[in-house]
Amino acid sequence: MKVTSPGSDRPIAFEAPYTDYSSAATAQAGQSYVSPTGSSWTDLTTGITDANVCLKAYVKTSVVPAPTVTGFTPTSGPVGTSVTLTGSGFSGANKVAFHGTPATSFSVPSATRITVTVPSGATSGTIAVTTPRGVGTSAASFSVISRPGADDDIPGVAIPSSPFTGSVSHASDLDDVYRIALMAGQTLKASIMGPAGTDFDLYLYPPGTATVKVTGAVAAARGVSYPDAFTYTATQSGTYYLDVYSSSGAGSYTVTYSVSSGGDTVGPVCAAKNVTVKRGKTCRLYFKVYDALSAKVTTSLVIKTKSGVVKKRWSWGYDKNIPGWWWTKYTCRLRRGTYRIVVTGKDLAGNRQSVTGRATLKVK
Amino acid sequence: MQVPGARQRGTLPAAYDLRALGKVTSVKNQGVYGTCWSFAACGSLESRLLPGETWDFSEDNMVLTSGFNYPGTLYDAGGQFLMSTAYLVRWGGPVNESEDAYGDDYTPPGLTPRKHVQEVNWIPPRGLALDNDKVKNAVMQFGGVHASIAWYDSSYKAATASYYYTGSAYTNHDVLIVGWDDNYAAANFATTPAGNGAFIVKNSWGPSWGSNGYFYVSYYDSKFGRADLMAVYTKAEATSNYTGIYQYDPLGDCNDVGYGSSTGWFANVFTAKSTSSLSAVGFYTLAPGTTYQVYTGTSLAGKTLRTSGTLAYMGYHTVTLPSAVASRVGSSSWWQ
Repeated sequence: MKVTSPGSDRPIAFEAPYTDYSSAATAQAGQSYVSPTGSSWTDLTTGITDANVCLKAYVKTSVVPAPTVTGFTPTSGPVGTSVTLTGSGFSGANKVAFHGTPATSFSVPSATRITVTVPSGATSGTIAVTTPRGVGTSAASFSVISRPGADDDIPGVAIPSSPFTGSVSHASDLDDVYRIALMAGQTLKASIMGPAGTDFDLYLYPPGTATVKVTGAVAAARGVSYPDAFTYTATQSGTYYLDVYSSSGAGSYTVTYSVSSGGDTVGPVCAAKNVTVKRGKTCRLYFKVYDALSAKVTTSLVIKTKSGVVKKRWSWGYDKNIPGWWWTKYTCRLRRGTYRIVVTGKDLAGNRQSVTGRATLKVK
Repeated sequence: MQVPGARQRGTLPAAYDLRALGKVTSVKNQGVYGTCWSFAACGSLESRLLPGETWDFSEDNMVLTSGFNYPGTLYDAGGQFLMSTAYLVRWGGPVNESEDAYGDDYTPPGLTPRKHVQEVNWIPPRGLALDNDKVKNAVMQFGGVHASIAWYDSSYKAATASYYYTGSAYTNHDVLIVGWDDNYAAANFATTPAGNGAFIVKNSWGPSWGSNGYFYVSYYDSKFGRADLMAVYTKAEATSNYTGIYQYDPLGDCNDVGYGSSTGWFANVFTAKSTSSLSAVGFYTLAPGTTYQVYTGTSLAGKTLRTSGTLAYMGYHTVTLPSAVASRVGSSSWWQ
């Protein structure tokens, strides 16, 4: 500060203690300096005890408060959800964390709004915004919803070759489900290992099961120590579901399994009954398709001439596999003569009939 | 007929009266105490803010928190414009009369100033009886002027509420100049001065004293406005003007120093208490027409010129910087 006061030879005002006037004045060295030219300076207190020059500084503090998070929407969602935070003091935000897990993607469109993506690994809890002026934490908790994994339930994922590993958690990833094709008669041996302190179990659900979240397993290994194993021989051919279930704890597991060779390689046994019918009349055609190891079978019934020309064909998709006779109504419009009835079928393992059903249709 | 407040271009009116312009607050009564200086100072500040803003500032607060220690009790010790200037520009006040009522010898804790006084103009004493243009200009431009008088009852004529002192005693009372009348008759005074003319002066002895609390002081008075600087509290800003003040001189201008030249350099080093920007500096000028240069820097050697100018009035001034200078918490910054 340089002043030039015309007509004065003492242009610098200072504060110092004077008896019966300003006794309360105090000063410290290193506060006030004076100079005749602005180049060499003298600490004022070296010349005048407890003296300060009269020079005040006025400042403006940019009043930007620490951040506060007053709300957010939505209040729950899986990883990857875009969440909008409302509050104040967001300018300059350099971190947004979900229960301590920093988000890798967020934007601050205004001092009162932040848009943030729920980061991978986030867990349910409060949301905290950090700016250079402090940290603001939401009062409410954001719920991170576990996104249903492909392996969390049926249909599951194709089973890897044995042995394979994965991880489950009783808290956040209860089940890992693997699809495995078994033929009736094949034997599946499976065992599981898990970390100490956990109890991971194996369940096997039969073809046609909708979910592993209910009972209905045909085999299980649910002991409390490892290795935990089961052996199961398939009663039908089809896609089974091997469910790794965390009864308690979390961690990685190893499943070892083997499937016996063989199994259902024999197709259903088919049969038909001879029928005699007057032309133009209605009769019943009896037939049988049965496979001891398959839950379902398909059926085909054909009427041919002796020379092999197909005159009539019926086909039914997979239906109940019963050992008894089925029949179907038939109004015969064939010319008089003798025809052949041929019955075939297929089991769930894909085996065609082991015995073809043959009979004769006589039309009078 | 002279219209109060009327003015011809380039000349001062022959008569002027702030009362007619609604620029004077009511007459107060200092009672038995030696607190005239605070009544004159508060009266000046209140007058300055009228007619736009109406205030009643607390003389009690100014007296009891002045920080000065003239001999005697705070109420009895007396005071002058340097003390009121120091109190106001350090943001010690003003507070409202309703917050700190007069005469109870008590100031409630926790009061904050209602205004931030950033400028106090000091008017040089009148050299001769008719050397009145500066004070008249100040009255017209700003409002009531805080002035000192040598009061002796024998010089007062109650019938006309007029005062004319010719002696050489010290001044002993502070009052407020609120106008003048160049044609006020010399014959009205207790003894007849060399010519007509008187200042219209507001006293602090209650409205029943003098002429409704006012009186006339002859231009020819030997001490009135002639022994001491006069003061008018010219810039009282909203307290939102700045968020902080850094200062080492709560008692303000106690003395002055120099190097045998009209030029002097001075500097204070302050440590920032929060991240903020230096927006203005405040300092005293001890002669009219003082020129200044404001530098800032982080050392005395590395200084940067921020602004410069000339200040017509003596007194305390706040000079804003054209662009605020950022400072960080804890960093030492030299405001020069």
